[in-house]
Amino acid sequence: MAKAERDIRHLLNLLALLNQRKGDRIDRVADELGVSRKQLMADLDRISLCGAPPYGPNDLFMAVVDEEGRLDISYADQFRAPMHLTPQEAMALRTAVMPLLGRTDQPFSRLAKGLLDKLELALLPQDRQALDRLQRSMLAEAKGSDAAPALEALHAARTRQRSVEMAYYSGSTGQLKRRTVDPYGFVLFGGSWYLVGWCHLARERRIFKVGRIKDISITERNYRVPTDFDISPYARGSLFKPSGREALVRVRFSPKVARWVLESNSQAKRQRDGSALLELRASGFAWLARWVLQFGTEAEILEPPEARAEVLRILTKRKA
Amino acid sequence: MAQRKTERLLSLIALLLKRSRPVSKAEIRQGIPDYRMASAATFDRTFERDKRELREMGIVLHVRSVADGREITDPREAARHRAEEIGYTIDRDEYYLPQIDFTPEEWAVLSLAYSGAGRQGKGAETSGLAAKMGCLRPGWGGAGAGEKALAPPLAGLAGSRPDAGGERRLLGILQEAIGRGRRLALDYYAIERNQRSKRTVDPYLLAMSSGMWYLIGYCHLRKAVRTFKVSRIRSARPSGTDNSFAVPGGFDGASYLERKAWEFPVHEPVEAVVSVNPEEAWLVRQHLGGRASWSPDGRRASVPVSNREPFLRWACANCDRAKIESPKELAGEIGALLDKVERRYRHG
Repeated sequence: MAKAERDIRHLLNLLALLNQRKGDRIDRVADELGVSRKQLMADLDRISLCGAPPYGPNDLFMAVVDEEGRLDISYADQFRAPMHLTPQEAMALRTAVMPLLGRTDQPFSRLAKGLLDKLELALLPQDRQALDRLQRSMLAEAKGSDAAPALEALHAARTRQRSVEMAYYSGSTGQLKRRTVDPYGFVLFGGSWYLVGWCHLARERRIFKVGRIKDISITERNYRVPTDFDISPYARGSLFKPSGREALVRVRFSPKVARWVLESNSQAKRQRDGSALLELRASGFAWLARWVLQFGTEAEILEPPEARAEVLRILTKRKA
Repeated sequence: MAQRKTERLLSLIALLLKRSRPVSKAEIRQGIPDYRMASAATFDRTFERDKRELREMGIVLHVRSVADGREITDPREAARHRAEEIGYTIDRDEYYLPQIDFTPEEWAVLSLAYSGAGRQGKGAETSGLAAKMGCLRPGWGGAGAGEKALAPPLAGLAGSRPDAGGERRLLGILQEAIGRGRRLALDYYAIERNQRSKRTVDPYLLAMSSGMWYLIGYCHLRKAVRTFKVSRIRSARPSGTDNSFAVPGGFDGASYLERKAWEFPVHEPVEAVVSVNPEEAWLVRQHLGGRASWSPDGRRASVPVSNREPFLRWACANCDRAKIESPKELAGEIGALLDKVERRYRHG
């Protein structure tokens, strides 16, 4: 996109937003746009230099901030709404919701589909075809499509605020246990769905991988999601927030497999001999033992001893 | 220069959007200083270019008769009219973003999507979607208090990868090439060989699997349809003209997406028979996917394997849940390998 075009788009959007935000504080609007107050002020000055010919007193835009920091704009009514979406913008949004879509029917894929249908209304009819062509060139598959029925039940339970009873296979202990859980929220992480909820067995807030739920039923028991519950932190950084009870885990990978590990694990460091050393903190080791086992003799857990014991437990069990 | 051009184009839009009747070419020239001060030839050239740029931006500009508002679509007819007779309009219906009623849940998804699509960008592009969507609903995209109250229990649309911003730029290039049917020149890192190579690829499809983006297309180097991990594409640029290839009629993108790594065509396919610990059969069923066939008692699965290495890795990781019965040499190889691992963990 050429600079002038970017510039125009920006001013057109800004004019429309200012029309919608008359009387709002400039800091809030700057925050909404993700720009600094200074940058927004500079844009207001620029807008005030523009207008519609013949530039009479009612033709020149007037964007001002009063002493209390409140915004006002006059004589720019023709920009009361922004320009329709471009196919590129619709596509950018679509790409971003792709992970939700998946190829199996589940509550969040329906939500995403409904949303995308509505987004099409914001496009010009002649642009819809272009978008359609782009859309057909994209596909998404969430891992473990078998998780769809469990996700369906969890979503229904959360909507009705009813606890669920589920048989859950724990990745950290490697055990299948029945638990009563109050579903608080859902996270899509690395292509897999996770449930955040209150576990009545553990008496604490826990994260469950939806694909590891063996069976699930909605109970008659009511619960309430705590008013201060916020799912968004789970989407930032690592899904699992350390509790302080975790042990340091060190795994060595031979030079033969090091590059795969280094590609997808930022905690892995390349060693001088070409091998990789992964250091992380974990409190259960079943998933780790399996993950390391797939590398055969090319990887070894160095510590803690409990994690090494877990590898041996799996290896011994194979002969049973 | 750019600043003057921005003001000129903005004035033109402001004028046409303010009026519902056609504004004559003569009035436009008189009204906008850049046009007024230019020679007739320069004005014509600049005005033509400006109109083209507005249209490229997605603004629909109609040419109409000033006298009766009739649309003039034939450029030869337009050229016959005098500057006072020919006019321009921007129809408001075609300009404004319509009001869309999203549900609170949809808003939250959009806000998640936006935080993935826009926040990592810079300046004008970042605020573009935010401003447009903000006009549809106050408080959108910002950290406003209203946002949190309405938010449904959903998070984490963006991948967890640290270089997601760079990948997004690449996705834009790939998407455009697919849409236009343009051949691509890729600089691709093949991790198996541990080397970079230049590839010419006809891009068919972008696919997301397990949170990762893949490009599926015809590779001219390998002379076959190949899957490229987008994060391993170091650079991509269109190398051909529009519609420089056609996606073959029999191409089925979904089948590429559903394939397990051990189903990639690397060697002659063999059937691996696996006996499964009944308590954990439900987990194994998830792992093996739809192409495995199961015995009626649900204890044995037959799996098509045409890429040994990934299957071997799966079998090692799940050695206590699933036992390889045949082929015998594969079972023997896995057994020997795991014995070696076991000795290492037991003795040192």
